[in-house]
Amino acid sequence: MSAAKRIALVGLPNTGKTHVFNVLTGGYRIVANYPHTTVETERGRCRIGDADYEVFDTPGIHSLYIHSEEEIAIRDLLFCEKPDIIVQCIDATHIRQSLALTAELLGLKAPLIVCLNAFDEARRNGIRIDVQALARFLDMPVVPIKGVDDRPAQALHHAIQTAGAGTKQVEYDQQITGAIHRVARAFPDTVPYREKAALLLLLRDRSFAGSADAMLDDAARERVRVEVKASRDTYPGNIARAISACESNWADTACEAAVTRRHAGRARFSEVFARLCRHPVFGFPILAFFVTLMYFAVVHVAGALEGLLSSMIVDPVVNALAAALPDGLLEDALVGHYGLLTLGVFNAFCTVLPILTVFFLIFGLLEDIGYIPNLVVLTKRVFEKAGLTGRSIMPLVLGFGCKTMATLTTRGLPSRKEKFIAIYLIAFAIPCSAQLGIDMAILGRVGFKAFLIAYGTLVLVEIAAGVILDKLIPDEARSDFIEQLPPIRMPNLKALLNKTYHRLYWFLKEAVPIFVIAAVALFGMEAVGLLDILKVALEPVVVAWLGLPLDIVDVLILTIARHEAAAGLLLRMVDSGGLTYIQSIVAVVITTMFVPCFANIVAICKELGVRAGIGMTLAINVSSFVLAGILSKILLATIGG
Amino acid sequence: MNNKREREEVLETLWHMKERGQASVEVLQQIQGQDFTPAILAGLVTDGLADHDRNAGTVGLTSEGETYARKLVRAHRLAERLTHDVLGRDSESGACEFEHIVNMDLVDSICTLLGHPRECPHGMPIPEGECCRLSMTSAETTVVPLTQLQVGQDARVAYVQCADDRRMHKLEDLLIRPGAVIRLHQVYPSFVVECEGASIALGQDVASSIRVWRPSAGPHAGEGRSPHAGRRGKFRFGRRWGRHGV
Repeated sequence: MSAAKRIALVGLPNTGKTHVFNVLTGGYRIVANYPHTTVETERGRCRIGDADYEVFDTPGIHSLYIHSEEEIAIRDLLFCEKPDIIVQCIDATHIRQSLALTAELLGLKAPLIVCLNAFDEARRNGIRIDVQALARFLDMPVVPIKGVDDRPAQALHHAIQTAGAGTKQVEYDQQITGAIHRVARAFPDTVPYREKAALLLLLRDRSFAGSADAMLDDAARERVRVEVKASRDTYPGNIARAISACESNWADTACEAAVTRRHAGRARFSEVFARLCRHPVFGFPILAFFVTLMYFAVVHVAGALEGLLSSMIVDPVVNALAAALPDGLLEDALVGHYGLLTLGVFNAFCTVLPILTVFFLIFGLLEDIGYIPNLVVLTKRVFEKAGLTGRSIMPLVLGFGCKTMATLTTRGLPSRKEKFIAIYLIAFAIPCSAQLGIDMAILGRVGFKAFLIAYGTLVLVEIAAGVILDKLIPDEARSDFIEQLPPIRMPNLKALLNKTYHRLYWFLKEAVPIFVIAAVALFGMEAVGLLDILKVALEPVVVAWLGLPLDIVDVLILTIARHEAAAGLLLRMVDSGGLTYIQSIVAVVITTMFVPCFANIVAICKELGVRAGIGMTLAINVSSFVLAGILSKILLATIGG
Repeated sequence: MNNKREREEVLETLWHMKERGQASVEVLQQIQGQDFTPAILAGLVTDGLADHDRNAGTVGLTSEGETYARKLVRAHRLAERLTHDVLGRDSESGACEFEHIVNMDLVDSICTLLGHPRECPHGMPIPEGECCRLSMTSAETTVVPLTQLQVGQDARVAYVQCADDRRMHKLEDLLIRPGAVIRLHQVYPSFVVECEGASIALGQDVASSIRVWRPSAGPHAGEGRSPHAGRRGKFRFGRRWGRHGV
């Protein structure tokens, strides 16, 4: 088991590490044209020739000199696991930025390979990279990858098999080199990458000083401390700046050796589009366009698909079974109101699957274009009102993709206040992509205006919650807002279809058992009368306060199991006229806010601790009932019932 | 005895040592190397600029000496800033002589021209002058915060004004550093700049800590022709690779 060599994939955010991971391991993990798609290190295995390899896919880092907590995890991985081979992924369109990290990685003196992603796009942008010259300069294998559908497995395998520690090093001035040697000598042999460790201490990396202390005994710690201080004190000027300057000089030279740029004619369409997306005036119509496009696609295309499936499969099967089976428990259990087939299997395959197919296609398209992160610019001021500044804005925008992932990306936030507010707001009124698709489908039955009312309410609630939390929690130092926006890219159809396929596959794999279990549970509860007891108990809240029919209790129970599972039932209620216009809106608003999904709760507990996680979940549930009730009263008073 | 230059070097070294909390004669000797002679130190003590305790082996500046050294260090570090930002990188050799030959009015003018920088390129603090306290940001300032650019204008980064190493590093990672050319794309709802082909969104406080050379007015204004960008001509991705670019 331990015989397998370890390969670590590292690189700046959004440089295609996961794509290389997929190529190497032959598996599939979500890739997207935006930063933080990968938030936790993923391990995979692959076999090249006769040898087994373990591959780590890591979240993006800018530098081994650390800015945030998530980067510490990656550096610790390098120092603890001591991978046998490091593969650095570089976005060829922004090669210079990546080469600064290459300069730092060289100091590890481990076998290094460079993958040049988006090679074709760079060429189109007028950036010509001489791969041979770069490989010569870096003294390591360089593998160009043309685009998202280029899978040069052979070239990668060959590079991995032949990779050896290169001879190239960044040249520091004599005093720095001397200082590195002196500090490195003060470390005992057990410390990995001693020279790199010395360099990080000279750079005054506080987080590393902590982990270095843990590796050393008292005597060694003192020796190291003295050497570091002496080196800093005798250096003319700030040694940390001088070290960075040498590394950045080296990266400049590397670029000069291999990269030539042509003046790329007029502003390309993608640039113009990116600018318009962020524009204070044009940005909002574009956002509205995408939301509307999504809405109509989900309502009409998915609706048509759903109708087709229903008339071709669901109705014939249900009717046939109902006719064939004797009236009684078995018929009810299979095709009854809470039937295994009707509420379980058919609900998943014939109602939710078409909605998610259409939705994921469009959402994936927006992801691959790189549209979504551009929203940080548009929404910054709004979020600032809610006490979110700096680095906490991006996770919130990413929450529209997957709330669990977004919650995990808050890990890097330095201020606990921002972290708390961000996590709360992500869990509260932001619909995840699947929820958004389903909400669109449900409200599509009642009309676009209903969609606008429901989502307008959610936006208001979200901002209000943020403003209140901001007032409640004492101020802390705010982080800097510095976000690199991904370039707008032409989507690749094959990659998009592949991604949608995998998302749907995972949905079916994860959700269908839950759908079935939930259907069985509801059926069981009804059979023994528990459901009726529950409904009687909840009547004052549901009927009097929320103004919803008592049957909505079934929906709420399914929401706890899985949000998508509730959709089928809700859709059926809307179709059968069981819900009025206002009730539909209230039902959608409450199911969107009510109970964050289980994975999200786990992520909250992971980031904030179990107590805070459970407290937050309770707070969200209580406030969702309160707010939905208020909405119901307001709607009744204004547009009448 | 015309050893003004040597005396001033010693005073500057004493200032450095004070910044680092050092006060031993040995350190002074070590840093000064061959240039150091006991006579110079003795001369400074006689003139009331330095204290030397032979028994304890310590040296230091008197308050008078401190005022003198402060001016020297300020001139030296401003000169570094000037040569680093205007001419390229290696600034030490030129700046070494500078503080011995300029008068203090000129130093204040340079400080104003550079927008009152607070750190030399090596990260050492530049002592404040009268001009910084008055905080003159009149038209004579050539280095201005990024926030003062017009949308669509290119400008060359002079330096990043901040004491926060993290911000400096983060910006450096994105190649926003002295010499880089950035184009301002948007100021509202947040700042968006383009640097080395990448679009970067910045908060107001970050944007105002980035100091750029004010693009010259005239027919080419907005095309990124800072006074120092003479033969660069048109560029899309900014300067050519390397900081020696111009």
